[in-house]
Amino acid sequence: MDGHLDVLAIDAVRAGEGSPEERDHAARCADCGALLEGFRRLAAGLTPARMDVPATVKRNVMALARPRRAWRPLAAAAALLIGMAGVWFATGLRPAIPGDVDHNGRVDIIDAYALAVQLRSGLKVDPAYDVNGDGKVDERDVEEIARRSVAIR
Amino acid sequence: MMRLLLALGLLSSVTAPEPQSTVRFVALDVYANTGATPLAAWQIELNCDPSQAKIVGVEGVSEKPPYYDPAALQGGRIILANFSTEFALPSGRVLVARVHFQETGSPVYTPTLMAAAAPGGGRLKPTIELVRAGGK
Repeated sequence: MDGHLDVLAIDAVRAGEGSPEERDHAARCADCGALLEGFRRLAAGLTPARMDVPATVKRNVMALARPRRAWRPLAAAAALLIGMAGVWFATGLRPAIPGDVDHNGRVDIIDAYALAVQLRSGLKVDPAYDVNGDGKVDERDVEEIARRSVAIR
Repeated sequence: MMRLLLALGLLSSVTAPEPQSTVRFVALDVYANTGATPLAAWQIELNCDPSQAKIVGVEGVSEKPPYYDPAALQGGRIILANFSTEFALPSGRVLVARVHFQETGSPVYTPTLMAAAAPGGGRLKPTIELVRAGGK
């Protein structure tokens, strides 16, 4: 290396990043050493002074910076509802709709037909299909389901 | 001459035909076409603008008349349904109901399939067609 170090090399030596040759030159060369010392003073002058922030101010600032958690209860409720809906669909544990024989969530003529077929076949029918509340499941319940399916609401 | 003209005017006002009424009674046949699959149960909603036509009656076209809510009469919306547990069931283009209307304008009738099933309960999607009674 011939000549003096340029300012980038001197700043690298100041930051402890210069090559061994550059550090050696800065140590031996009075001009470069003076410049290096000037850089060190400048860097020290630019370092922010330590300032103690009062605890209350720090707490208030952190409180403002902290993300709000108001959505958490809503998210929990939504997750609960989604979970319940999943169980509902997966297990068929839907709320009973009187006359919903095929458990599709509504009463239509297919329910009346399904119950009529069950009654005609002589199979044991679910007492829950006693939609007219007369204590037995028979053709009158079929008629009642059919009547409900065509009701103008 | 004046008396003669007055007499003729009086005569013409008495004998002039009354303006023709715009009220018409029409019947629509409702068909469900299931193709080759027998039709065991069906449910159809029929709509029209009640200011143009009102439902005045439902006629059964089979042994068992279709189910409907009497509250639909005099309105523009009706739900019709029927089923059969008989062994022999119709297939293809099946006439399922005839609905009577009192038309006072130029109504547009809109049928909507709500549900249909084959024997055993398998869901069907027949095409629904409305034909003015007397048509084909």
